[in-house]
Amino acid sequence: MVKILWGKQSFFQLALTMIALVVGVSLMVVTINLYLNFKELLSDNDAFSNNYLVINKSVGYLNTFGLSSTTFDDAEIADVKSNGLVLDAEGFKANQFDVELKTGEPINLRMEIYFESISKKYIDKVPSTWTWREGEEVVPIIMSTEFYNLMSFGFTPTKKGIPQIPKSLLLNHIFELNLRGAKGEKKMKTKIVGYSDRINSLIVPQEFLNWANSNVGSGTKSTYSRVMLEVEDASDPALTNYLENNGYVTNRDQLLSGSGKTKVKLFLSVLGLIGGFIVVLTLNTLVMNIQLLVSKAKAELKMLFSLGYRLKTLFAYMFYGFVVMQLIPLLLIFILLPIVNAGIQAGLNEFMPNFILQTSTQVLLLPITVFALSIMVMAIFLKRFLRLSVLSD
Amino acid sequence: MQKIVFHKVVPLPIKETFSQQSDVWGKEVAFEQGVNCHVCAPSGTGKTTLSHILCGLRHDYDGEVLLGDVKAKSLSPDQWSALRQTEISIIYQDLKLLEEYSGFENIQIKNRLTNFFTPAEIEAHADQLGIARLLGKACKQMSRGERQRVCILRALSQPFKWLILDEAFSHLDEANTNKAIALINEIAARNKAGVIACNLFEDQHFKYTQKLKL
Repeated sequence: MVKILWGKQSFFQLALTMIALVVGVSLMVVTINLYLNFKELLSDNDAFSNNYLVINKSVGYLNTFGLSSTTFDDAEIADVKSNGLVLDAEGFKANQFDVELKTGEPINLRMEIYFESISKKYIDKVPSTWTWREGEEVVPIIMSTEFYNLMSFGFTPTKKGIPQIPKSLLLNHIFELNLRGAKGEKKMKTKIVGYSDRINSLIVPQEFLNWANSNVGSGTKSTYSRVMLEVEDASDPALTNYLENNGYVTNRDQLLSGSGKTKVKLFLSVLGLIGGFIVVLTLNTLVMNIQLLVSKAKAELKMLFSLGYRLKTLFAYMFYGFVVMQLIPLLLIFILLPIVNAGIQAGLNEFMPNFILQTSTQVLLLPITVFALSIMVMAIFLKRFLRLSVLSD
Repeated sequence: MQKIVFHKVVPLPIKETFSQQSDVWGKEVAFEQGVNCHVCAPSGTGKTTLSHILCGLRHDYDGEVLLGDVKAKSLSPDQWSALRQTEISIIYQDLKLLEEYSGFENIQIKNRLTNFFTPAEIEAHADQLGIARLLGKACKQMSRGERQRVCILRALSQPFKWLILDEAFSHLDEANTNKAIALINEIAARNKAGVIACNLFEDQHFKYTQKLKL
């Protein structure tokens, strides 16, 4: 029976269609998987986002001699806010007192540090423990990842007796803190509660800084040496011009990474779209294959029908053939996917050694969805073509 | 179903040309189960159209065909297929054989629907028709008369109440025609079925109790 109905079908043609289906679906799966993997890097709310910029004034000779200031006052911040390119801006509050940090035994390291503070909305990852109320002894700090890297990979390896400490181990270790200011001295404790990829600083809760500035420090009106901007698009040339004209300096790399990211996004979308396009074309080819198969077997179909074969039976003979045929590309995709992913992983290893490509289950559902869709399309068209061809005169 | 009734049936292709003297077209006529009927039909009077209407392959006609109490036009294609499996069998004039396949395979394509004959029975009946030695041969290598006999045996490979013969013996000599008639009579009797023989001329192949002119 199957031989009667399928005997005239060109195997080569079907194989080609199936290969196209494998290529199309694989392309879609790989790009969507890549997108999901890089989502954190590509999305706009992450650490590397190009939507946040830190600006400061450039340091010139006049600053060195104290004739000019690199701080921003409220009017300047208001001006930055009102230029239409910036969604929001806020200055970093700084400490108006000296801060000395002591690691305690056994390393016994002491260093002068500084604190800054800014609203939560500018910080990428805010741990719930990052709060402080008057009377509490321990001050929580969010530390810049960059700062940690400088310490672990820059400073520590050059110092005998100071071990490299993993990020997680450093968390919640209690350090001693010595605050000295115009209004006296205060001994407190501190701990690192989280890391920030976005802000290169040691950030403490605003409540603490306000309290310490007025109770330990001078309590004068604060100025800001650095300002954080929230912008629509950091790679916008108009913004670059504005910053340059006002003598503000920002991290140029971040602007570049912004445009690079756009390119990666564009590349992935184009790749995904091509995959989708191939899938649609393949489904179309599949429909044409069905039409061809039915019209090639028209005489046989009509004969079998006139002998008493039901349309249902004829449909089943052809349909199951197509289903089996479709299972092959589905299996192929699942076999190919780990191989392709391994290839991509090998490629990524060269410049992102710590990145591990993961395959999410959502992505694995895609081939199954396409498979189900094509089965559905086949069923509808096969039924129609079959009726048309058998019942016509 | 006990009878097939034609109620003022006129096929659309011969609507303008059909003869008013016809006993079938435009008239009331019944084909009873178990009755042998001869339909004498000169060329162009709609002989093949009649057999195709009887087995549900054509529906382009005015009037009504009633299968028992059921209007034929209300049946779905699959319901008609069911009737062609167990109620109505037909020996097509154009044979409708798969040329690439052997005589045995062609018969089995029909027989497997109802498993009416065992392979041994098929061989025995083929022997009665004189085509036992040809069963393994591809149909395209057979003569027209041999193919016609394969076709006859294929039509008998199912339960039926009516057997429609559309010029079933046109390529057979007298001796082979008689062998075929003997076999048809034997199996029709077993099925309590009648034949509806459509032919260009009058013939004496079966004991007809009903004679119609198209």
